[in-house]
Parts: sequence; C-alpha cells; structure tokens
Amino acid sequence: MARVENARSADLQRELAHLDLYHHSLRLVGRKLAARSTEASAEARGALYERSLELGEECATALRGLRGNLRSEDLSHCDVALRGVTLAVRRASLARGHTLFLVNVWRTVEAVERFLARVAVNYGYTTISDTVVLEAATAAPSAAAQPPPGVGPYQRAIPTRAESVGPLSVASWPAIPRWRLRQLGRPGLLLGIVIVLGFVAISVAAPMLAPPESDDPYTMPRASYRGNPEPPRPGYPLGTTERSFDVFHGLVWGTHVAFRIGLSVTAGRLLVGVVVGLVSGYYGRWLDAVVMRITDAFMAFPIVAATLVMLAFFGPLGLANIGAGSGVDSIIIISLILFGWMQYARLVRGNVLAERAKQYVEAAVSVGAGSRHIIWRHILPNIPQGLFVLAASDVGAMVVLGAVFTFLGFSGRAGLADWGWMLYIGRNWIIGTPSNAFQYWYTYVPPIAAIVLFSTGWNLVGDGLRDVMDPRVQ
Amino acid sequence: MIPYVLRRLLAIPLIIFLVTLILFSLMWQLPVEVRARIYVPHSGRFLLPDEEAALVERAIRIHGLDKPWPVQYVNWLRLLATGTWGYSPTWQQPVLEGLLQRVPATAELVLICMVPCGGLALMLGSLAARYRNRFPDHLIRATTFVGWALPSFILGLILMNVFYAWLGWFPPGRLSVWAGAVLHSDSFRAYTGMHTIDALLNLDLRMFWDALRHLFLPAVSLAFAEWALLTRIMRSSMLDVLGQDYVTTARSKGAPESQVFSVHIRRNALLPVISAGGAAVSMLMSGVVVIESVFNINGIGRAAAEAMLGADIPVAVGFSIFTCTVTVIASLVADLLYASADPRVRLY
Repeated sequence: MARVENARSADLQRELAHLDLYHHSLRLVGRKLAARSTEASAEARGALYERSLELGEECATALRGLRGNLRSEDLSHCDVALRGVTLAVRRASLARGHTLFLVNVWRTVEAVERFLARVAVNYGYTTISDTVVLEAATAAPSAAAQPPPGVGPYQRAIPTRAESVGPLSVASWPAIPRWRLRQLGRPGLLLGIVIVLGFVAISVAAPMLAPPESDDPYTMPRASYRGNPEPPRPGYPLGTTERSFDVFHGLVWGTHVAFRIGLSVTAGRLLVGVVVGLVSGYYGRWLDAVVMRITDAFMAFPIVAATLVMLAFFGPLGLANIGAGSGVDSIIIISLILFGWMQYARLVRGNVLAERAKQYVEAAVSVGAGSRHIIWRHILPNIPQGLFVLAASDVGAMVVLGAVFTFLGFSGRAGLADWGWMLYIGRNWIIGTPSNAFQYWYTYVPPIAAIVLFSTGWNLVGDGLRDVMDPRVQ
Repeated sequence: MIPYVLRRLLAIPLIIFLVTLILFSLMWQLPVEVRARIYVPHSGRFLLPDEEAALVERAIRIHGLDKPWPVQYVNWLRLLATGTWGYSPTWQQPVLEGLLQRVPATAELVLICMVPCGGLALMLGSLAARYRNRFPDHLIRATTFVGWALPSFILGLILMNVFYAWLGWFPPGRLSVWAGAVLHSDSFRAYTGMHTIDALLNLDLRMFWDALRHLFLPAVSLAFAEWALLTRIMRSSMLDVLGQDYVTTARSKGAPESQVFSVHIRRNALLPVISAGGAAVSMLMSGVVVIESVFNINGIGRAAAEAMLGADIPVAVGFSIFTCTVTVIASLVADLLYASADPRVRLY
C-alpha cells in the first residue's frame, strides 16, 4: 500500500514539475512575442505563435494528468485552472497575429500560476525552477518599466516569482524537494555526519585537548629522549611512540592536516571538473570530442603513479631535502588535483547534456537567450546532481592518499602531527615482540583508527547523500 | 563485432599520443641538464664535475635536446619506441631492463588478485542479490563494508600484524630463505619469473606452497577493496535487472529459472561490473606501489617508489609510461568485453 502511495506521489511530483516547466517556457515565449511585436520577421513570429500554442496544450495535458493524482479537496482548483487554460488556448488559436493572442498567453500563464501557488505547497512540491526566480528577478524591472503595448494590465496583473517568493536564497540551491530533505535522518548518513562533525569538533578544540608546548602545534612534543615507544600513562593517554613523541597530541592535531588536504584537493578537483565539464558539455561538437579524449588520457594515469612522477620531477631533489617547508605537500595536492578532476568533469558533462535536452533550455534558446546567460541561469543551477556525493567521498579518500605518500616517506618530517607520519614510524613496531605481537599497539592503532574513521565518515556522508538525492537507488 | 574492434584499436594510438604528450609537457618543465642526464649511463665510479658536464653536453648534442620542442618530442617518442628509456642512477641499470626484470613479481601479484576480484565478486554479488535482506546478503554486505572502509595499505598492516607477527602463518617477502636457495640452484629453471608458476613447472610443490604462502597476504590486501567494490556493484545491478519487466515476463510465461538467469539476467547484470572492472585495474596499479612496499616485495611498484625517493627521473618517466600502457590495455579489454556482452554498443 505504501508503495502505491509512493509511486503516486512520485508521479505527482513529476507532473507538477512538467506543469511548472511548461508554463514557465510559455511565459518566456510570451515575453519574447511582446518584445518583438514590431520588428521581428513574420516567419520568426509565426514560429513563436506555434510554440506558444503547443506549450499551452502541454499545460492542459499536464493538468489533466494531475487530476487523477490530486486529493479531492484540490480537484476544484485543478478544474478551474484547466478550464481557464483550455479556453485561453482555444481563443489564442483564433487570434494569431493579434494582440489578443498575447492576452490569452498571459491568461494561460496566470491560470497555471495561481493553481501552482494554491496547490503545489500542499504536496511538498517546492517549485523546481530557482532558475525561474533568477530569470524573473532580472527580467521584472524592465518589463514593469516599459509594458509592451496592449498587454500592460495583464503583464502587471501576474505577480512574478520574485514578488511572490522573494529573492533567491542560498538555502534553496541546489533545489531539493522538501520530502527528500526528510530523508536526511537515514541512519548511515546520520552516523557519517556525526563522525565528520566529531572530527570538526576535535580540530576546533585541539588547543584545549592537547595544548601545544611550543610555538608549533604541528610538532608532537617529546616526553623524553628515549628511543623506544612507551605505553599509555598519566599525561600521555595514548602513550608515546618512537623517539617519545606524544601520540595523543599527534592524533588531535592531525585532524588539521587531514582537513587541509581533504578539503583543498576536493575543492580543486571540483573547480577544474566543473569548468571542463561545463565547457565540454555545453559547446559540444569538436571541442567536446577533444576534451573528452584528453580526459581519457588523464584517466590512463593511476593516481599514485602520477603523483610519484610529479614528486620525482618537481620535488626537492633527493631524499635529504624532503621535509618541512620544502613544498612537497603542495606538489602532492596539485598532483592529486591535476590527475583527479576527470570524474567530476564527466559527471558535470553528463548533467549538462541531460539538462540541455530539456524543454526550458529549448525555450530559452527559442527566445534568443545568449549562451552565457543559459549556462549561468539555466544549466549551472542544475549540475550539482551527484557532484556533492562524489566530493564527500573524495574528502576521505584524499586523506588516505595523503597518508600513503607520507607512509612511503615522501612527505612529513620528524614529529609531524600527521596520521600518515605516525603510521610511517608506527610501522617499525608492527611486529611487536616475540612474546607479544601487539606489544606496541599504541604506535599504530590510533593513527589507523583515525584514518579509517575519517574516511568512513566521509564515505557514509557521500553514500547517504546519494540515497537522498537519487531516490531510484532504493 | 570486427569493425567495432578495429575502431576501438584505432583509438589506442590517439590515447597513447595524448598520454605521452602530457608526460612530455611535464618533462619539458625540467631544466635541459636534468633531461639530458636521463641518457647518461652510470659508469660505476665517481665522476668529476667536468667529466659529468661533458657527458651531459654530449647527451644534449646526440639527442637534440637543444632543438624546439616538437622535434624533441618526436625524438623522445622514437627513443621510447626503440627501447632507449634512459639509465637509472638509483637502480644502476637501464630503466627498461630494470622494469622488465621486476615485472614478474608484480604481475604475479596482480594476476592472483584477479581471481577473487573477478570470480568471487560475481558469485557473491549475485548470491547477495538473490537472498536479498536475508542472512547471506547481510553477511556479504557487512564484509564489503569492511573492504570499502579499509584502505589497502592499512589492511595490509593489520593483516601483517595479525597473521605474521601474532599467528606466524604468512611471512612477508617473496620466498623463504631455503626456497630462495632452490631458486638460484642449477637444477631450477626460471621460465616466467613468477615463483608460483615456475615452481609448478619445475614440479616443486614445496616451493609452490612457500611462494603461495608469501603471496597470500599482499594479494588479499590488494584485492579486498576491489573485490568489495565489484561485489557491491554486482549486487545492485543484479537487483536492478531482477526488477525489470522482461524478467517478470520471462518468469510469468513459465521459463525455467536457470534459463531466465542465463538468458535474461546474467548478461545485463554484468555490464556495470565490466566497466567498473576496467577502472579497477588503475586502482590496482596504484595499490601495487603501496602493498609491495608494505610487504617488501621487489616488484616494480616498490622499486619505483624507492627510486623516486632519490628523485630518479628516468625511472619516473619509464614507470609512468609502463603503468599507463597497462591501464590503457585494461580499458581496451574491458571495452571489448562490454561490446561482446552488449551488442548495442557495437553499432556506434
């Protein structure tokens, strides 16, 4: 039973979205018709007339489709809107070339608008087109200042989105219907969020948890000058590792290093990937083919091998120079970005191609919108699909990769509060003693736990986000 | 099928061309002396600065490293094609020779990983899908969760701690000391350089067992993450296919379950796994570097990492070309498998 209910609700959301898109396209076409009333060629105007009629019909069809899924108390609104739309479309079809045509276009838009304003809210449908808000916000002043001849009263009678919804807020971008937001409480996602927030809290509270003993909090303080690890004791809750470095201090301040590499690499990948994917997907043709082949070529490089090459090329020559301030960390970050943006670009390109094929973009093109306008207003707001999912999992993965290079000895310095470096020295004690294999557990278990927990937390967030964003997975 | 294969094969040189171009543009950032030193063989004794400068000068002249970049690029490609990959200062041998000498150990490790990654992932993935939300499914999903959460090198460290240090079952390295002695004895013929296969070919079962024991932990830690990934994908794609209308139709018209599985389900469910498998090879090539370092296996991964700690540029270039070739070939194989499973793509 619940499944039937869900299916109905999904159908409803889809129908509402269609209606929303169609009537908005109609509004755009109508506005173009009004603006071009004098100078445009007869042929272009003819095409616009036909397109408006088609869109009006589509609105009527969508309303008819909705009728079956609405609750009974909303049926009357639907009927009113349907009657208004069909009447206006029939009248418009008789009035091609006449100002009355435009009047009827606006009547159609108005009828649908009213219907959506009254009904859509009841079904948790937040109007998908935030792009519409942007569009209306920019277009409204000029339209209000200079009403096209003959349609003034109607144009002004229809409240634009900007007036009815208010200015675009960051919170509504990307557009996620409210019913999906409710799923944020899924256990996996919740656990991931708790873990990630826990790490954030540790990194913020680091000066209190492990007060630095010198000016440099990123160097683990030394308890003594003994060389061997010593077990947990008062003052050193997780013991001391090789050369008496305080494990707990390293663990706490390591969160800073982890967040730095995770967030910077992911941000870089996002930036490059979005730009490349957007350009490639939008301009298409030969540019797309070339960019995609280049993407393939970059994908041929395994990330660890590529980063090793970058380190050998641009790292400070020779082992002795590797250490603090040598720029190794920035080489690792740059190379993880340079050889890791491809998945983002492919994802964005796919989203752009899917978005371009949609009707509202077609409508914008049909009314002569420029490509920069279309990219910014129509396509960009719709590409985050799946992007944040990928980014969330990547933050954790980058920390693991960063630890790999520290573990192999490419970065880090003695006493660096970094999980990878702690593992690098903890590895020397992993065999333990002949009588007890786990004698020195405190040298390697804490950094392992930190790395695994950190990456798992971000992975859970990414996976949970995917389930929330893409209901098909269930 | 054949036109598709030909078209796909024609795309390979293009990718290789772009890959080498990327690599060359990175190399181009280096000073010319550094690039020239690639072609200066190691003499085995300490060189005076003057002598070295003369050698570098000579290499620049011979290989035209003072020419414009397109000329240099073509030159470099020709050198690569003729097997002149330069001399490694840290390996103290020609790069190509060094790579080929270390390939068998890595190949053995990667090949043995394919067994769990391929077969086991497919089997367990479809098992989990068939018993959805019952005990086998829960068990398999819990295991894949562990594989998904544990990075391979960390899993390697844990396994080493437990199975070598504590239980003493699986030692690191490639062979025990006695087996190493057998390997270098006159009666033993090395056919492939992969110890397990060589031991079998020499009918030495004790040595085979020893080599397998040494291979077990690295193979498990390298393969676990890939296995978990492929199992997850197999499970979800099976579930996807099982919910399709054509499966319901086939069952409702009374087709036996085995036929439904082999005709309607298997091929379609395999498609996402094949494309993920092609990408997994790239992950394996990354994993090899770390796992070989953890388990002290003298394959190309560990040797390359150690060479690059000494900023060994010839090895860096050779290693990246080698790994890129492997991943390009792997993605070609994945594409061809995909095409053989899904006739639709052959039309493009």
